[in-house]
Amino acid sequence: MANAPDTPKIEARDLHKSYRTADGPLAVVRAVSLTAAAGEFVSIIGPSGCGKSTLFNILAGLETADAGSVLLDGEPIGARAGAFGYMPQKDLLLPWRRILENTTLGLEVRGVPWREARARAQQLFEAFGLTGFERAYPSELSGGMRQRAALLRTVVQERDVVLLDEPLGALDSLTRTQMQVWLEGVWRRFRWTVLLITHDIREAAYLSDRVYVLGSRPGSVQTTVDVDLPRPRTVTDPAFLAVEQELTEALRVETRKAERDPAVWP
Amino acid sequence: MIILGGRAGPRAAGRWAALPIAIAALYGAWELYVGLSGIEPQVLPSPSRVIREGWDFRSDLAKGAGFTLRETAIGFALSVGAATLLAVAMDFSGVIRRALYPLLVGSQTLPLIVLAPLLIVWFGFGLTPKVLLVVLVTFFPIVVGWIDGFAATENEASNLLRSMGASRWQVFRYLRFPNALPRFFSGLRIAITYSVVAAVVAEWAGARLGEGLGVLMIQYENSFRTDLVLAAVFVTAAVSIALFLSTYGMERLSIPWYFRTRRHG
Repeated sequence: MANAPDTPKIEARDLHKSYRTADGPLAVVRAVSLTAAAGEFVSIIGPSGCGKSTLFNILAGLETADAGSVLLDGEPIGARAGAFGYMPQKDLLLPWRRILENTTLGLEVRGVPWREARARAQQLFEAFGLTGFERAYPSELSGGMRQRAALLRTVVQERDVVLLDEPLGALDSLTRTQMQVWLEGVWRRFRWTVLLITHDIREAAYLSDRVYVLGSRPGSVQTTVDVDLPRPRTVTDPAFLAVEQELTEALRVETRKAERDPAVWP
Repeated sequence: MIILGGRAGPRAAGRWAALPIAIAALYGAWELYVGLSGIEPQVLPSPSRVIREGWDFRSDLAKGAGFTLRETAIGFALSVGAATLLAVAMDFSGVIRRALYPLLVGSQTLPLIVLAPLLIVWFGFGLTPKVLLVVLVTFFPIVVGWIDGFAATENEASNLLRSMGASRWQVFRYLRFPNALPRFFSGLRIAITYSVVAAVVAEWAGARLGEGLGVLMIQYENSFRTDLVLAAVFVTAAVSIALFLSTYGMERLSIPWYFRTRRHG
């Protein structure tokens, strides 16, 4: 590989995006830059409506940025979809497909032969705690299992970067905590490069190598917090609490700014 | 599912008994009225007479029903095929949708009772005008079922597929089409209920003797056999109800996941 060893796996460079509205252009994402090295777990938190989802849509190729670039292994990828495995908040498992068939969807779309797609997904079922549910329908699974199936569907595509858009946001808090512990474990085992959007400070601190705090609209990176703690982390550890505190403070500043300037947003 | 939705156990038996009791009550009231009033059977025959005479003429009625059923089946099959093709074309192309949708709505405003004799004038006494009328009547609810079903697709699900790199056709095949099936079946159910009546109306406007329940009704009416007219009416209703119920079977076989999902909430 021609790239220097310190070339990030994924780099967003100075991304801008605004929408046309009746009152003129509305900047949603402004000068956002972020990077993730291969195998790194990076989170993005920010007040609601800070453009996080727009940012992800740009990365996932669902929207195009007005300016800026996205680099994969140092090469611009333009606007094409496909480098990223995207997991939205809703599991969006198709009710007419069994769990195994749901997890192979991305492979089928890419034209992977059905038998091979099945075999590849099947290998992951144990690590995802879904063994025995291959032939179940989504409606027969609990919320946590459905999210695990949705994550399996995402990572089995073996894309370069996994984009998680509040994947645990719809779960009850107990399931959510369990899923955070599980997600951390499965990530350490497979070492995907992950970009996670979350509202949950503890979740970001628990899972991430680095956290970007986005500012209020238009979204731009205000603070970067490196979380240099050994894994798995203990949420009662003073060092962990200090990170949480730092993130809470950064987020509070941004939320206040958003509230102080409501005129920007109807 | 309202009609077949039953629970197991003793309460279910109570629910199922309601319909037979209602039918028995209607039958009894009718029979009693005819018996007590001494009304002429040419005006209003008793239900027992309708059944008795209908049974005596069962071979004629069965032959007529066979013709009606054949016209209905051919018309309905053509209608489902054409409606599906059109709905898919309309889903893929806004131009086609904007051009055709108003025409489809317009087609539903044609008065059938006027159209049926015209179709006989244009296409003769054979199968064609009956099939055409069945298509005309059943086409619209099926198209609407598909279109509503396609439109009910979640945007987020489309985005997920697009993020996987799916083409427009793949989004349709993996998502929009299966997602539309429950609504398609709702449209199918409405359409099939009207289909037999459409065939009967076309026969009524003109058919060869004995070839269909509609023309039998005319023949019996002309010979003042009100009892047999009513027998033919009841056979028509029975065929319609049977076809209606059969859609539930088709639905259960085609989209078992839909019922499973609804049960689990």
